[in-house]
Formats: sequence, structure tokens, C-alpha cells
Amino acid sequence: MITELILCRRSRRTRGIRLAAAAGFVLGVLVLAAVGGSGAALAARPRGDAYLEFFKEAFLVFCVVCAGWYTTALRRNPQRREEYLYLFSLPLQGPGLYRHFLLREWSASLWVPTCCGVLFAGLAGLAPVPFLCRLTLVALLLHAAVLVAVHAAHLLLMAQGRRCANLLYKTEAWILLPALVLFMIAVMAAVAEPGLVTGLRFWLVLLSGLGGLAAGIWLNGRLFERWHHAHGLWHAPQNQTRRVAAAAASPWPSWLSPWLWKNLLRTRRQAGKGIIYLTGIFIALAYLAAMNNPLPEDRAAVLLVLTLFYTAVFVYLSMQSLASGEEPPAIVHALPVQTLPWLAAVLLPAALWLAAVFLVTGTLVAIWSLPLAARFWFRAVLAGGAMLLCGAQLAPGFYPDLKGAQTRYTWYLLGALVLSALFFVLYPLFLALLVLLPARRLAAVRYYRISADPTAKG
Amino acid sequence: MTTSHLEARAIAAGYDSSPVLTELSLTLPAGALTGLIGPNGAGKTTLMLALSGQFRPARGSIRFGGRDIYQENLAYKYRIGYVHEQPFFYPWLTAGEFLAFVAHVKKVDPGRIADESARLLQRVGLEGEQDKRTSDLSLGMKKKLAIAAAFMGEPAVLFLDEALNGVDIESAYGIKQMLREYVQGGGLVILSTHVLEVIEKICDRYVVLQSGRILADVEAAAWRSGAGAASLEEHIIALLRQHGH
Repeated sequence: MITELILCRRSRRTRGIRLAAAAGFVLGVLVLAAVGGSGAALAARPRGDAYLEFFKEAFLVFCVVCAGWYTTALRRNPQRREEYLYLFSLPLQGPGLYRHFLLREWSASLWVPTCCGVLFAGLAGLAPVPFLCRLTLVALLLHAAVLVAVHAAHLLLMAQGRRCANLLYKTEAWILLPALVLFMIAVMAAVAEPGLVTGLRFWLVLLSGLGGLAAGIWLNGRLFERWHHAHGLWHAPQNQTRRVAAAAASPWPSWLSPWLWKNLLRTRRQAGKGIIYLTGIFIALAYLAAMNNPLPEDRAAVLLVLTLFYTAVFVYLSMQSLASGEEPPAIVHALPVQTLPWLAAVLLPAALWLAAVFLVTGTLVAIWSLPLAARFWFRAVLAGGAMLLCGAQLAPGFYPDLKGAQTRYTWYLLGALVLSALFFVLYPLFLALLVLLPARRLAAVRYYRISADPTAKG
Repeated sequence: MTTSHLEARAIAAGYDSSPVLTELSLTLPAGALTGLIGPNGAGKTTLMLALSGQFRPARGSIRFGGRDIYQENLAYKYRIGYVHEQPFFYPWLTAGEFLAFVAHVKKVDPGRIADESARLLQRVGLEGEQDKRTSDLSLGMKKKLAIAAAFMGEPAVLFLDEALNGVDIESAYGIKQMLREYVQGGGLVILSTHVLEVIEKICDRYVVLQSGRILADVEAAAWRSGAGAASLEEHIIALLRQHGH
């Protein structure tokens, strides 16, 4: 608590909101426990086929939620170096500092058990509310257990001096992935085996879980303290740089656009394998969802919709490559930037990646029917290409305002989607508009800021 | 390298309607090293950004060699080098790679890039560091690399915003010599600094800014001959106090 107070440099209002949120959370947990785990409600069980409904309807969304957790947990935060230098300069005890890191990570990913709770609520017609409350509590417990277990693995590796396993900077994908798979299995087991969270066994599971968590946090705190004392202030930041320094310098090919080569080097040296795992999981899930339909035409249609959904999200995230965080004005405004090579440096790798995804999904369709696969490919390339061109033109068009670009991209996409649904015959026109509208913005792109008029009355 | 001059006429600029530069006019001749001095928030960086084609003033015009730098922004950017107060590098590139990147963006002859990079790294005191990742460099080393990158592609104008802060004595000496040679070759340098010793030693003239206005635009030689016993520091402080700082 003292650590939190020292580290809390926010305004009184923000602190008030945070305290209210924490109080609300505790109250919510108490209500869930009271509704789900008291008296006769403790024995409430769902209908026998409830788990079938879960696996039919909500399972796909549950997988997407877990994939989202995986992606956000792997995201690297470049500003952490400065933050840790500051934190390590404070007279804080190791365990307190560790609990601060854990609490922050836990609260940042609290949306995962919340989403699980919403999914469980969808079973309300088949399962009694107290049972669903208990499921939500178990999801909350499992979520915290995954975080503590992942930290324990990292801390054990850090104690052995492993360079890449520093939980302060980023989570290791190969540690997180099995932990998430275990989380998914445990949640599914709780849904499919109501006996695990019914009667006194629920309290047994909950209490032993809480006890395990407390012990895990205590042990992790000790491990962190030992590591912190052994390595001191500078080790953590240097850990990161040593890892980067391990890659060899490359000759610079003069025939390639410098922007493209620079981006390729980043992919080679910094990109994690997260996107490959995620895309693989996504394709597998999309295939499973498509296989729910008996007709090949319907399967191909479901696969196409899911592939285009993936494309829309991928393009949205790819726009970040042209944001001021990745391409700061200090470079873009000071150097002679030509729009086409700059844009192509992001567009080409993204297009290649999408083509590979379309190839895989198209091949899956080809198993059912070759003409269907040809049609799938044509449509995916047409719509996906339009989305990519739309996003890629908007990002430099709005530079350095990424948020503006992403908002506009979302609106354009929604507009094209709604209009295509209403007037399907005209969809080529809407796709063309999706490409042409941002082109106006791109034509007016300037690589300098424009001053506000200091004499204007505000 | 051509010997054009850089001219700002009645420029006014600001952020969110708070004025930073007010009706400021300035002519910077080629073959001269001009120092910009002024208290924090005087508008030095904003002026440098405006003069380097990165921040278009709301009013007024800026011309280099008679051409508006915002109408021919791309062509102008090929001819400038800029060192930011806090330089940024792509952390996954090595120092040598970053120089090669800048050289290719500035369309330097590919056959000359390796030699030019090695020469510049040696001049700024970074020889032997070309394979080090930019994220591994100290602040002083980053400044040196930014200076080397600014010199890449034989720019006609160099903007140095607090460029020598954090640079070690020997390297700073070498860089100052480099700047003098560059100016003697017809280059135009605008150097913003709070270190008056730099102004005294290498600048041909200095401009004192306060609240977005020019308080003084002085030829260094003229000041040296007429200064008497007063130091530059005393002279600047007197000037600022006189104008109510």
C-alpha cells in the first residue's frame, strides 16, 4: 500500500476514480460470492446440455478474448526503461515493488475475466444465476493464477541470469502461451464439469486457490527481491539492450528503399512470433467455425467473413507503423520524405502477409471446392486490398495523428459495410470509394506542422 | 554547396493560439555561424523548426536562395541537416546503419556512403562505434551520431539545437573545428545553445531571442572589439534585464 502511495503521482481526481473502481470491484466480488456461494444457491447446477451451448455459441468469442489477452500481454512498452530507472532509484523494498508491477498488470488485464463473466451470463437460460456467479469468480481466480504463474516462471529464469526472460520489459511468448492454454482448459473444465464449482467443493476450490495465490505472490516477491538485490539499478535496462545487441549488423542494400529495408530490419530484430501464433490460432478457429455448416458454399462464406474481419483488424493495427511513436516527427519532418517509398515500406510487407493468410485460407476452401476457392480468393484480395489501401493512405494522410486516421478508417469501413449490405450489387463501387476517398487526404500530405495563428481569438 | 542565404520575414507562430514567435524577421547569410541565445521558452527551438521547414509559421515567409521553403519543402529538406535537442534513432539500427539510412534517404551516391559514414563517425569521435546499436549509445554518443547524420549529404544549412550538450571535451573540440571548416566552405549554421563559451569561440554572430522577438543581432567581431571589460555573459544578462526578463 505504501509503495502504491509513493508511486501514485496522479491527480487527486484520478486517484479518487481509481479508489472508487477498486471499491466497486471488491463490492462486485462480494456480491458474486454472496449470490453464488451462500445457502441453497451453492447447490444450483446448470442443465446437462449447458456446456454444449457454451462450446457452440461462446467458445469462439472466448478464444478471441484469450488471443486478445495474449497479444496485449506480449506488447512491449518502450517507455518502461525510464520508468524503471526512476522506480529503482526510490527506496522501495523488492516485494513491494513486485506487487506494484503485478497489480498493474492484473488490473490492465482485468477485462479478460470480465469478458468471461459476460460470456457466462449468455448461458442464463440454461444455468442458474448462482452457478454463473461462481463460474465468474473461478475465472477471476484463474486469471490471477495465470499472471502469478507466468511471473514465477520469469523470476526463476531471471534468477538464473537468463537474458531474455525479464518480466519487467516483456512477457516471453513461450511461457505465456502454455499458461493461457491451461487457463482455457481450466475455464472449460469448470463449465463442462459443474460438480467442480458446486456445493462445498466450490469454497474448497476458491480457498485453496486464494491460498495458492497468496503463497505465489509471497514467493515471487522474495524471488524478485533477491534478483533486485543481486543485480541492482542498471541490470534491468541493460538486459534489454544486450538482447538487441546480440543481432549482427547488416550491409545496407542500395537498390532497396531505405524505409523498406529499415522496416525489414526491425521485423528481423524486434518482431516477436506472437502474430504468427495468433494468426495460426485464428485460422484454425475460423476453419472450425466454418465446418459447423454442412454446405461448402456456407463454409466458404463464413471463412471469407472471418478472414476479412482479420484483415480489417490487421490493417487497423498496421497503421501504427506510420504513427509518431514508430516514425517520430524528429525524423520524418527533418528528412526529405517522399510519400510513395515511405508508404510502400509499410504497405508491401503488410500486403505480403495478408496474401499469405489468404493463400492458407483459400487452400482450406480449395479442399471443399476449387471454383469456390477461386471465388474466395478473388473476393478476399479485392476487399482486403481495398481495406489495406484505405488504411495505408489514411495513416500518412493524418500523420502524426494516428487516432484520427484510425477513427476515419473505422468509419469508412463501417460505411462500406453497411452500404454493401443494403445495396449489394453496388459493392464494387463502395470498395472503390474505400480506396479513393483516403487518396484525397494523401494527396494533401505535408511533412511539417502548421502553426496555429497566434493572433486568433480562442 | 551553394552559398544562398536564409531569410525569414515577419514570421509569427505559436501553439494553440499562444504566440511563440512574433513578427520576427531575420536574414542568415551563407558562410556564417549564427548562435541563438535566449532564456528557456524564448522560442529558439520553434524558430529553428520554422527555419528548417518543419513548422510552418501562421504568417510571414521563409526563403532560402530566394525560394519559399514551404512551397519547395522536399527540395529544401535535401539541403539541410538538423540535430534535435533530444535526437531520435531507430533503436534496432546500429550507428553505421542509421547513417546509411539517412544517406540513402538523402540520395547520397551509394558508392560513397561507406567512406562518408566512416569519415563522419571519425570526425565526431565515434570511430569504432559503428556496429553499436543506437539504443546502446549514451546521450553524448547519440548527440555525436545526430551531428554526423546532419552532416551527411553535404547540406547547405545546418541546424544544431543544443547539439553539444553532453558531448565530451575532445569530441566537442573536434566538432567545433568541423563546424568552422564547414562554414569556411560556404555552409550556413544556426546553433542554439546556452553555453556562451561556444558562442564566443566559434560564432560569427549571435542573435538574442526573448519572448519570440529578437533583442539583439550582433556581429561577433564587432562585439569583441567594442566589449571592453564586460564578458558576453554580462552583456547578455544586461540586455535581458533591460527588456524586462
